[in-house]
Amino acid sequence: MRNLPKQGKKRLTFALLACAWMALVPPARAQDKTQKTPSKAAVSPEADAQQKNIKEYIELLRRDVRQQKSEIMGAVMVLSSADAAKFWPIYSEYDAELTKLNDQRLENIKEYARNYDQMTDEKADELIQKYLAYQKQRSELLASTYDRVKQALGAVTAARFAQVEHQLLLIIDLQIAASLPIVGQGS
Amino acid sequence: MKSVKKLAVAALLVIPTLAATVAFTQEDSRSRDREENFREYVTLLRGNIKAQRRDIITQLMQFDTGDAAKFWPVFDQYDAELNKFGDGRAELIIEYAKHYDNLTNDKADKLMSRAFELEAQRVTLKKKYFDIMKVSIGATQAAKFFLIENQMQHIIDLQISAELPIVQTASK
Repeated sequence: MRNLPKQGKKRLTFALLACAWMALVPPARAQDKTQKTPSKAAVSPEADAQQKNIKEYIELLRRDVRQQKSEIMGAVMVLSSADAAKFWPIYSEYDAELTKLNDQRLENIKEYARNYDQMTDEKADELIQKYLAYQKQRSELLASTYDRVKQALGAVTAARFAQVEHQLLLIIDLQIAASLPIVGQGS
Repeated sequence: MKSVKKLAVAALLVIPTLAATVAFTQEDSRSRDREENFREYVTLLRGNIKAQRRDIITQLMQFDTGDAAKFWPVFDQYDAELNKFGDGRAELIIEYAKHYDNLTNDKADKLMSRAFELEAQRVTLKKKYFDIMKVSIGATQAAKFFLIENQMQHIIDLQISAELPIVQTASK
């Protein structure tokens, strides 16, 4: 978590531990020896927990999640040394594959921009088909990586990885949409 | 309708934005747009976006009468099928909650396999309905709809994530 202030890191960890499916998946037995992070959501009033999660998503929206994704993942997974040695090589390979997919996605976005002013049905069709193919490939990549983590560390830990990653990808998707320019408005 | 108007602003900002990196020339303007989008995402995350989907789509798509008549029946079919996945996910959440205290690798794997399956089906559903809509209202309009829809789904997915610990609490 080299890029995050200590307090921010703690809050981030809480947010991700508190949210989504992950909150419903207890730590794997292999993690019993590691430092445990309290899941406050489990004892919070329902509405309070939900509001805290929403608040943390909003904070994440303003962070450089793409840059910090592996740090966030590390903080949330809380792996023992032995498990970390198995997990990170798989994660690195996953991340490299994801980067290749994202490069293709960026090309698609650029092409959309080049054609935006004179968009034809044919071009729109091609671009959306590519976008849907990207979503499918990314989903399949996450599923196959889940399988690899499952083989190495068990399904409970693999489920936590997949759930955290899924949420980070959603936030990054929204960040990309927000960061792109508004065509036809002064650009 | 104030909130709907705000949502419309958000989505209007967001949708054309998918148009891209080669177009921008002014950093200030870009950062202002991003800030405005973030503010609107916050509104959307805190609001009941599901209940406002139709209003958002109506305001953003700006259909003429002919296209509206073609679009909405197809949208209703799409929405009904999409809701089935929502039901599937709700069942998964209940299952997770039920087994939370003694979740085994076997059970976690079954639940995750089902979750991946539902996600894959959702992408397939989008493709199916994009292909149907492009025939009825043209690919450009259909593409615009799915760019709006994808962003609404991302926000709804995050809202569902935020709700999940409630299931956990309620189950105890």
